[in-house]
Amino acid sequence: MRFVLPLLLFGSSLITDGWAQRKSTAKRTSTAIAMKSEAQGALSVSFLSAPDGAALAGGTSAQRSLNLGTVSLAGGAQNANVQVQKLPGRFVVSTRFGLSIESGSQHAASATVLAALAVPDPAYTFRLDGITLETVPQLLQGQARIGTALMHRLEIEVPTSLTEKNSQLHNAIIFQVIPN
Amino acid sequence: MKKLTLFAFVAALMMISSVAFAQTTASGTLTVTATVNGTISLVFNSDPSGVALSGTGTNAATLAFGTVQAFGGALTAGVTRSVIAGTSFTVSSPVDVFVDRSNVASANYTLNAQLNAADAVNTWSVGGVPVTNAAAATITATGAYTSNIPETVALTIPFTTASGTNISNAINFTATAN
Repeated sequence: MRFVLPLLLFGSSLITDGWAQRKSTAKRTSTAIAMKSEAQGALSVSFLSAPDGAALAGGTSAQRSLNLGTVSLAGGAQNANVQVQKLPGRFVVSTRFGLSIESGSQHAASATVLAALAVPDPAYTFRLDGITLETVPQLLQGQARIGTALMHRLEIEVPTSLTEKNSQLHNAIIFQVIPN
Repeated sequence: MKKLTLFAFVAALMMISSVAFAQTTASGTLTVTATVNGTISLVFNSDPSGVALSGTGTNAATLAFGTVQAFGGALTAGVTRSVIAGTSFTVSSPVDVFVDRSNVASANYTLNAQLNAADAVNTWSVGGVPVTNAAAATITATGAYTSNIPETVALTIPFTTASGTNISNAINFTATAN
């Protein structure tokens, strides 16, 4: 038991590193001084409705909902600022939203933004700014400016072969922001 | 004592890991929801052997037979004429009906047609099925999706109709997923 606990903890730390920590190993440190510095430069993420996008609703600024409403190939979208593009064998539902990254200090001018689907969804294809999302985090932006709200386009590809059985789309996109 | 040291070490590691995770990165979650509705759509296309429709490729097309007469004269391209001696003549043209589906588990569709306004003088038919204003007539109960299905629209005009008479009506088509 004495050996198991540290091993488990180490495994957890590895997972955390792989998902959320800086990519640069040179800057990674575990000293108390460095951690204090990081504390001053804490980041925060907030979502905002784009002027030409669907309205975000509910939750905290970092946990919001985007309801695209009812969409169909023939009828298009019923919600404002939601577009439907018809393609052979499928249609693409799209809208825009804003992502703002704020920092408690001025140490980092930019950040790396990763995005991942919360749960796998083989029925639909999710794309953010043209990048296909998976449950594994994908690099969305390598140099996202901190302090500026950046607009992103979400596209969801809906095959026409989907039937009523799986017509409810419900997923979440998890954004991870790492200061550069 | 060893146990205490071990737990202290573990606790310290947990705190370091937790602080490093929370303070050097930030995360946000955007929940996305939508409801996909199943739909079918119907458009009219010009049949290669029929009259060229205006508004082809839409669900509001116009089939113009042009000037028609029982005997002689020049018919509009794609118009076919037949005559029942001493009674009436019929002009007809195939029109392609294209029904597409999306997000529905339907194998085929039923196509109904109904005259928009009553016509007590002339006789109308679609695909050989008489069409009136009284009730919708079933043209086919097993229409195939994503195919141009030629349906012949025919108009029978009695010989008693005065020359120069203008005939205009609309046929409302309804496709229903089976």
